[in-house]
Parts: sequence; C-alpha cells; structure tokens
Amino acid sequence: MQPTTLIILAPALTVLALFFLPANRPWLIRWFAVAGAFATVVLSVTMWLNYDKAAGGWQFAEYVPWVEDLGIAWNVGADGISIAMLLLTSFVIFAGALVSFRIQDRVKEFYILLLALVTGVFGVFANRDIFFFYFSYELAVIPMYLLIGVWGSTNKEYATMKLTLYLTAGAVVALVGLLLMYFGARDFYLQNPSMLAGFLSEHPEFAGSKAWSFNLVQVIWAAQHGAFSETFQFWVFPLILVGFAAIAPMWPLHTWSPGGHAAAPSAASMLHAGVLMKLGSYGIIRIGLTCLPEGAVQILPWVAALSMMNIIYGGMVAMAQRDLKFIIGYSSSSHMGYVLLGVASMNVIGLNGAVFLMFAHGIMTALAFSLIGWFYDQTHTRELQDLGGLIKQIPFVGTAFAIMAFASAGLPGFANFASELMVLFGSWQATLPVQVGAVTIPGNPWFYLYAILAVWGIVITATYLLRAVRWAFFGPLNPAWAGRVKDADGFLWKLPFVFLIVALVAFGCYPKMLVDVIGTGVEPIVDALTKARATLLAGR
Amino acid sequence: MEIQIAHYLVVAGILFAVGLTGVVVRRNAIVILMCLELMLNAANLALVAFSRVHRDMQGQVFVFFAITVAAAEAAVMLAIIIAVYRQRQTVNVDEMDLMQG
Amino acid sequence: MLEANTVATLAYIILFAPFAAAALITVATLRSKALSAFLSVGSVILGGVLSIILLADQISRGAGAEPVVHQFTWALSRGMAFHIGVQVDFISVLMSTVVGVVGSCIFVYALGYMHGDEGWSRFFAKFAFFAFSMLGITFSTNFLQIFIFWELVGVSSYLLIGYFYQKPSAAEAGKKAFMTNRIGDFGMTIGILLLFFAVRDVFGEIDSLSFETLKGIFTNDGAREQLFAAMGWKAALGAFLIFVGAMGKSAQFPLHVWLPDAMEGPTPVSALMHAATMVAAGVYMIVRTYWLFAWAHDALVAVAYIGGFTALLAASIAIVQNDIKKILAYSTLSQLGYMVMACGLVGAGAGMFHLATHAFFKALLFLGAGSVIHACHSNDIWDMGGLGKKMKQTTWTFWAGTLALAGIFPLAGFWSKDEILAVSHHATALYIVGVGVAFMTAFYMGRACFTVFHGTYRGHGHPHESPRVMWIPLAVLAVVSIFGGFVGAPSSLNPFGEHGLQSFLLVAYLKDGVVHWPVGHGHVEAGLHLDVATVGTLMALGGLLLAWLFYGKGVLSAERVKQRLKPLHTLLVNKYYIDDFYLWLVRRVQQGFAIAANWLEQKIIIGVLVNGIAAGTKDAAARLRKTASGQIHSYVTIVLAGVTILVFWFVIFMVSE
Repeated sequence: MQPTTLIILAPALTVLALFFLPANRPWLIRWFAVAGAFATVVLSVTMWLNYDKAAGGWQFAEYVPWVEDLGIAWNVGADGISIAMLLLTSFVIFAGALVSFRIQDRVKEFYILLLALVTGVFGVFANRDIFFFYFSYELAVIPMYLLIGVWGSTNKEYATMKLTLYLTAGAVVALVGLLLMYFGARDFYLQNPSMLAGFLSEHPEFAGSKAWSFNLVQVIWAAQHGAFSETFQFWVFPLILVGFAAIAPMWPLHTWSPGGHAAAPSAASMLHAGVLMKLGSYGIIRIGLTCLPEGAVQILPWVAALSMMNIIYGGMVAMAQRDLKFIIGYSSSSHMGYVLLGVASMNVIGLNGAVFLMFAHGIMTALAFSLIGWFYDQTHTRELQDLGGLIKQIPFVGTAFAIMAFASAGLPGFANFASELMVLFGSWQATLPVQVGAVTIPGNPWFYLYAILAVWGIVITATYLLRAVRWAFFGPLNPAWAGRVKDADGFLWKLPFVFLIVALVAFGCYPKMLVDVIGTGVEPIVDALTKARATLLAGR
Repeated sequence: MEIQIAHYLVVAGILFAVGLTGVVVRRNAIVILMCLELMLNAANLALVAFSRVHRDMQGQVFVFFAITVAAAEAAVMLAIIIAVYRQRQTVNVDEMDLMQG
Repeated sequence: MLEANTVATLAYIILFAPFAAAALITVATLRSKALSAFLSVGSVILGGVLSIILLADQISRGAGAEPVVHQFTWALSRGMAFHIGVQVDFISVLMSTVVGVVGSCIFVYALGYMHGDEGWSRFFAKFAFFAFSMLGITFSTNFLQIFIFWELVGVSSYLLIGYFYQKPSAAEAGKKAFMTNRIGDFGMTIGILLLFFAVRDVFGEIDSLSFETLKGIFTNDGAREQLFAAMGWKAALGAFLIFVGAMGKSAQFPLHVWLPDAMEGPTPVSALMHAATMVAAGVYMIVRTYWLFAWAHDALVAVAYIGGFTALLAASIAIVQNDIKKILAYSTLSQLGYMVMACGLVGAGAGMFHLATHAFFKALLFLGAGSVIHACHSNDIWDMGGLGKKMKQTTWTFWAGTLALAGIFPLAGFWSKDEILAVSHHATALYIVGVGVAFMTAFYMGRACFTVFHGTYRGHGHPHESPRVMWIPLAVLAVVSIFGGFVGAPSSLNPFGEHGLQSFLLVAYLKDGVVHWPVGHGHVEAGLHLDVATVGTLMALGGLLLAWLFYGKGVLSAERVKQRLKPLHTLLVNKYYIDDFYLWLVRRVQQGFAIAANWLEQKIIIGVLVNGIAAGTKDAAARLRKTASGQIHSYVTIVLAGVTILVFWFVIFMVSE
C-alpha cells in the first residue's frame, strides 16, 4: 500500500478507533489522536524525502477501480504540489492535536471531528480522482461546522453558519464545473476512440479505463489534446475559480473567514486558516489551471487585480481591528492575496512562490492561532487594549508570538519571506514578454503595479503585526494578568509551538529543500499555461 | 347485458369521485380517513378489473399489497387521530394547523 | 597569500560564529550568565581576529585583487536561482574588520554595562545575532543576500532598541525603527526587482543579482551602454530605489527619524548598531554596488544632495539637544550624511574611509557617554559637569573621540574628513555644506564636552570612574581613533602602501578612477590635500573655540542667543517638526484609510452585501411560508387543482395530436 493511501487512512482509522475508546478516559483519547496525527507526519516526511525530483510527476500512485460504470476509482498519488500540501497538513494537525490537549469538554467527539476533517483534507491533497476529490472536500467542511458550533466562542452560531454556507455554496458551483469537465472529457473520448487508446498506451497503469472517468489524469490528457474548446474553457474556468476561490478566500468572498477564525477553537482555527483555506487555491491550481489552461490565461489577469484587493484592502482592514484573532484573520486573507498573485503571474517562480507560500502561511497562521488560543483561554479577551505587557508574564508564548509576527511580516529566515519574495519576482517577471517558438507573448505591464502594491502590502503587514505585538506583549504588564496567566511550561506544552517554528525556520533558511519538489509539480502547469497563451495569440 | 370493463371503471370512477369530494369538503378527520380509503379502494377495483381483462395476475398482486399497506396506514392514522383527540378534544381538521408556516 | 578556499572558510567562520553563539545561548545556556557571555563575546573576538588576518591577506594580494566568491544555491526555480555565500575582497574585509574590532570592544564593554541586568543572556544572544546579520551584509555576494541580512539587521535592531520592552517609549522606538526601515526596504525591493529583470531582459537568464556579474556588465562599456539603452530612465530610478534602502538603514532624510529614538536601547547597542556599524550598512551598500551608482548619474546627484542635506539638518539639530546620547545620535546622522554625500560626489573611497574611522571614534564617544550615564544616572548634560576630575579615563578618551570627530590633525577623523572635503571641492554648494557641517560638528561636540567634563557638577549623587572592563575598551578605541587615520596618510610607513588605504578603495571600484559628475569630476588623488585640509582644520578649531567661549569660559551667553533667535531655536528643538508630520501621517492619514476600509468591510460588504443576501433569503422565506397554512384542505385543493390542470393539459396537447 502506498503512503498516499496510508496518509488518508491513518486519520480515518484513528477516527474509527476513537469511537471505541471510553469517553471517560480523555488522556487515552488525546494520545491516541496525537499518535494518529504523528503517523501522518512520518508519512508525509517520508514521501517528501523519497520523492524523485528528477522524475517528477505523480508518484506514490495507486489505482483501484471502484464504480466502473461511472469511472470512479480509488486513485491516489502525489506530485510536487501535493507533497508540500501533505507536509503542511500533517504538521498542522500534529500541532493542532497537541494544542487541543487543553480541551476539556467532549474530548472524544472533538478529536473524532478533528481527525475526520483532516481525513478529508488529506483526501483532497492526495487524490487524482475528481469524485473523491470533491467528496473529500465536502468531508472537510462539515466537521468544521460542528467544531465551531460546539466548541467555539465569539458569535459562533453566526460564524459557523456563514462559513458552512459559503463553503458549500462554493463547492456546488465548483461541482457544476467539475461535472461539465467530466462530461466534456467523456464525449471527447467517445467521439475519438483512438484518443482513448492513445491515453491508455501512454498511461498503461489505467488499463481498462472507459471513456467516462473521474480520473484527473485522464481528464487532463483530454484537455491537452483539445477536448475543451476555448469557449468551453472560458465559461467553465470561472465556475472552478469562483467555487474554489470562496474558500481560498478571494475578495470579495472572504468575509466568512475572519469571523470563522475568531469563533473557532484553537485547533479548528489552526486547521481552518492553516489548511482549509489552502484547499481553495490548491483546487484552482490542480483542477483549473491544468484542465482549463486556455480559460485560465484569460481570467487570471483579473484574479491578479482582485488579489490586490486581498492584499491592500485586507491589510487595511486588519489595521483597523482590535481583536487579535480578527487581525490574524484579515491578515490571512491578505496573505492569500499573494498566493493568488503568484498563481496569476503564470510563471514558474510565481507559482512556486504561491505554493510555497501556501505551505509557509499555513504553518505560520497555525502558530498564530495556537498561541492566541493559549492566552485567550486564560484571559478570555483578545482585545489589544485589554492585554498589554504579557511577555513579562508568559515569556515563552510571547516570544513565540513575536516570532510568528516576524514570519508573517516577511522576515528573512522564515519560509514566508522566501515564498513572498518568489511571488514578487514572479509578479515582476509577468511584465516581461515570453518567447514561445515564433510567438512572442507580450508582458502584462499591470504587473508592475501589482508587484509594487504587493511590496507595499508587506509594509502594511509589518505595521499591524508590530502594533499588535507592541500592545499585547510589550509595555507595562496589565495588572489584571499579573500571576494569573500561565506560560507554556514543560516539554509537552511547548512542543507544538516549537515544532511549527522549527518548520518555518528550517524551510525558510534553506527553501531549496521544498521548492525543488514543488517545482516539479509547477513546471508542467506553467508549460501548459504558456502553450495556451501562445495558442490563443496565434489563433487571433 | 354483460358486465364489461367499462362498468367496473365507471364504478371505480364514481367511488373515487365520492372519496375525493369527501376529502375536500368534510372536516371530520375520521370521515376524511374513510374517504381516503374509498379512493384507495377505487384504485384497487380498477386494478383488479384490468388484471382480469389482461389475464395478468400482477395487478391483483398489487392490490393485495395495497390493501395490506392501507390497513397498516389506517391503523397509524387512527392512532394519530386518537392522539390528537386526547390532546385537543376535537377531530376537526380545521383546528389542526400546528404546521402553519 | 592564503588559498581561496581558506579565505572562504575563514569568512564563513567569521560569519557563523556569532550565529552559533546566539543559537546556543537561546537553546542551551540561557540560565548560565557566564557561559552566555563567553560564547557571545568569544565569537565576536574570534571574528575580529580572523578579520585582521584576512585584511593582512588582502594587503598582501595588493590593490585591485580579484574577489574570492563562494556561494551555494538557496532557492531555485526554473531559469532563476538565488544564491547565498561569501564574497571576500578588500571592501568586505575592511568592513568585517571594523565590525569585528569595534564589536569586540563594545561586547567587552557590555559585560560591565549590562552587569546585573535580568535579561543578560537574552541580551548577549540578540547582540551576537546582530553581529551575525551585520557580517552577513558585509560578505554578501548578491542583492538578495544583502537584502536578507539587511532585514535581519533590521529585526535585531528592533529587538535591541526595544530591549527594555516594558518602557512604552522603548517599545515604540523599536517599532518606529523597524517601520521606517521597512519603508526604505520597500524602495530597495522594487529597485532590486527593476534591476534584476532589466538586466535579464537584455542579457538573458544570467545570475543578475550577483554583484560580480553585474559589476562585469556595468564596467564593460559595450554591455553597459546596451543595458542603459534598453532601460532608459529606469536605470537611474533603479539605482535611486536601491539607495532608498540605504536611506532607511543609514537614516538619511526623510527616513532619518528613527535613529534618535533608537537611543532608547542600551548604550552598547547604540554604540555598535546605531553609530558604528548597522547605520553604516547603507553607505557600505552604496560602496559595494558603486559600479551601479557610478554610471547612474542622476541617482548619484540625488545621493549627493540628500547626503549633504541630511548632514546639515542633523548637525543643526544636534546643537540644541540636551540628552548626551541624542547629541551623539544627531551627530551620527550628520556624519552618515557626510559619507553619503561623499559617495554621491564620486568619492566612494572617501565615504568608505570615513565609515571606517567614524566607526571607531563614534563607538568610543557612545561608550564614553554610556560610562558617564552609568555614573550620573542621567542622560541630560545639564545634570553633569566637572566630571573631568572624577572620571579621568572616560574624560581623556571622550576628548580623543571629540577631537577625532571634529577633524583635528592628526586624529583619525581628520584624514577621512579631508578626503570627503577634497572630493566635494568641485561641487561648490556641497563643499560649503561640508565645511559648515565641520564647523557645527566641532561646536556641538565642544559644547557637550565643556558642559559635561568641565565646570562644576550640577547633578545629584556621587559619580565615579566606571570599572576596568568598561574603560579598557574605551582606551583601545581611543588609541585607534588617535592613530588610525594614518592608514590614509601618504607615507612609506603606511601598511597600505605609499598611497594609503585610498588606493585600495579607489581601485576596487573604479579601475580608471574617473567618472564625470555633472558638477565636476571625482578623480581625486589619495593623500593629503593641503588647501581643503587647512580650511577644514580652521573650521574645526573655530567651532571648538566658539564652544569654549560659550560653555567653557562663559564669556558668551547661550541664553541670550537663544532669546535673540527664538523662532529658530523652537524650530530646531522640534526637529523641524518632521517627527510630528510623520506622527500625523500615521495617526490620521494611515489610520484614516484603515478605518475607512474597515467601514467599507463591516458596513458595505458584510452589512449590505453578505448579510443583505442572508436577510433577503430570510425575508423571502417569511413571505413564502404564508402559503403553508397548515390546513389539510388547502393542500388537498391545491393538489387537486394541479392534477386538474395537468389532466387538461394532457388531454388538449397530447391526445389531440
């Protein structure tokens, strides 16, 4: 059995096992859940280390037909992009499971939902079957509803309802697009049986596959061989984009996210901002860019413009917030703007940066919410003016929070810096023309503006984060907290924070370790996009 | 005069119409229940008649099922009506509008 | 002469020793004060010693030697690779020697100054981390690396300024320093992007961040003209934007506001970072990338005028300051302006020379000020006075630093200031600025010295000499400040050869030494320039004399001058209202935008759009639910009506066909 299957099974089996554990022994349950989460860390790290960068493409693949009449199969595998996302998810759930040791209420149910959620997330990131991709996506959304609704705080009913409605509505829009692609590919293979034969001879591992198939590889192959007309792509890509952008979240579909973050319990916030939001951008890259490149290249310049709204406007709104979780929440939507900008730049370094930023931001924001959760549980306030001087009282958590703020503000030494830098380079590169054969694709001068605004966005980020650190942790200690707030003491409580910081620093000091792997996944996508741009230009 | 299929159908139609009228105009829940049974049996009658004409026993099998289900249904409905009566001292359906939006 | 590999290895050791110290302290030795201090101080002293070895090696290589470059790939995307490594040449080794030697003195001094502080280990970890970042800038091989360490220096500055984090003013000052630098880095990032892609656009996928690659292009006439033809006005813009980064770090107008506030940090921090090394990083970068500035003339002119203006602005504010550290801070600003001006006047060598000498005597002055503050428990010079009798070591070293800064022959400052005035000789306006600043410098330093060390003691308590661990570094720095300038002297005894340090610096950047500047040309022979030297020395002596008349002898009354020039005095005391302007910008404009955006978000997007859709749905539901009457009869009637319609429809349309 391949590690891709195992990494989906590990949390699923843990959920199953948790059902049979006695609810009155919380420590047994906690350790069991952590063990399941740790297994995913081991698996994802193994995959990352064993990924053959020279070969690239899908590895650790497994294909077992399931419902042949519909073309559904257990079809997992990982490419460079998936590896980065699997690493991220496993790191976040491991830290999240540890942080959630503080949960006292309905421990069993909490961990069951938490691990069910990541089962879905792993299912999305490791899947090559569109049906299971979508299924896992929905699987990831529903437990979040309960996690926030039951264990949340601050206006939780409103937040969780809004979140679920947004995500399911987005998913439905995406589903329409996915089904259109499924039927489009089916018709293509039915009308051109030789094409099916061609596909099967190129991909013998899918022997026996019919014309109708949810196999992503098969759909992409059809797309590469002209299954989807330009008009089709132009109309279907927006469906995929909007569907997944709702969770990404792209402005103006972002409003569920800060409220959702604020309401969710620590571990749910961590998964939510750290991982769940990445499902959106992952979906756009994995499905939208690969299957519908000709639609993508026409729409993406507009996405770049919207990403500016994320970055600048999101940053501005974050600056006006007083609640720490809202600050980080809006900052998340601001950072996701960089991801969208990187995607929209349509070149290798930009997309590499985007995927790497998804990883970096996931870890950073997980760290942020776990730390906020730590003192919120004790102070019951996250308002900046009510905190103050906390670093005196909780030096470890305070220091870790400052480190998080630096990472978020794009300081070198953290993965966020390297990735944002790559996005900036990608954005600027998008202004240069690209030569493909006889066709010269002109550069897009708007990207000068986007790059400059994106750099300014980093200044804005630093402004509000340093202000938050200044008011929450520096200055005189608010006497209300003197002696009342406990620091993270002992190995066990420090472990999740240290783990996440080490991940950020390790990949930040030597990004090549991960960027090399990501690059193998990104390059074919960029090649397809470039080819699509050239084709469109030549056609005019 | 030989009794033909048309006669059965006319009887079934009349039964159905009587039942339907009863369902629409009556207020008493028990009467409505009885009218419903009447409509059901009109259908059964038509089924049996067609079964006979087409020399196909499937229609009669259907009727047996329909009768059994109708019996169970009637039992459930009567139970509900009794429960409602205990609560509200009435079986007038006009007064049963808890489900009003 | 050492092997290239050895040189690179030594550079890596210099670079990573403080990092290792910082990491070890953070992870392992936070509890052991002695061990933390040993690691931190030891790593910097090691760096200093190795730097001197490398410097000797560079001298043996002779002027204009090829740099030793070693680097590895940091991140990679198709067609684009980012590297990190070390570049060892005369400039970087000179800088690392300055950092290492001045750093060693200051680290040792800090052992005394920080004695008994509860955050001792934390302090030394951060301080070592700063040394690492600064050396990273020094040995950078490319723009990306310099930017990375640039930011790291910024963050260590933030952490150390805010070292006394419980003091709101310290926390604010750290934030201000970081943000101001961020604005500078904003420009620098864009400048790097602009340059990187412009070069790629012309020459294809080459490593166009690397200093050596770019230098190759810019010093080759054909390649440079090809590039400039493609770039047009963007070349000067790119150079200027990179200079904006230097403006942030080297605190040039209008990004100078953070440096005086940065004095909230402990005094050793002010000495090392905000006087000697970190703030010089901007100048260092200009020198490092001088091939770029030398040809981007328009940018060069801007550099020169901004430097000159900063020098004048800061010197004028320094005259009215009462806080001894603030006086020194504005003096630092002014001297940095001097260096930048020199760079802008095609005198990169002069700028670099002044950077080196200034590092020693300004560090000395700050440490002296620290010693005085330590003794008097006050920063205000009017709380001091007559300390000359009580603190002998501090007094003579401070005076040595003052005279060096004022540029009195034959102290270090004289030689480097002479070079700067010589290169500015051709640009009359800036020459006048230079001479005027020299006068003002001598005046405000004289004012501080006479007030603090002479006359009668005005404060409370009983000041006494600082412990040996504090004044020995002072003495070392004082000796260098007195004799260090001779490296610029034209003499056969000079270790740098007959033409002095300048011959190395000039050759390293401008092989031919001639660049035409719109206001003259910058080819200046190294050595002593009697005409400007005379003027400069007279100015310095005049400034000191005037200060003595005011504050030493007391024949002139400062109070009366103040009354006479009331508006000017108010303007200077309020630092030309620049800080207030920024405060207004941040509090009103920026926050105004933020509040407007938040209003849009909460009221329009969430309030109207999102909740509007939700409310619309609810409203529709409220209306539609009326149709569910709960009456069986109404349902049955509707069903009946529906069936009837369907039957009729069926009969009319289907059957009739």
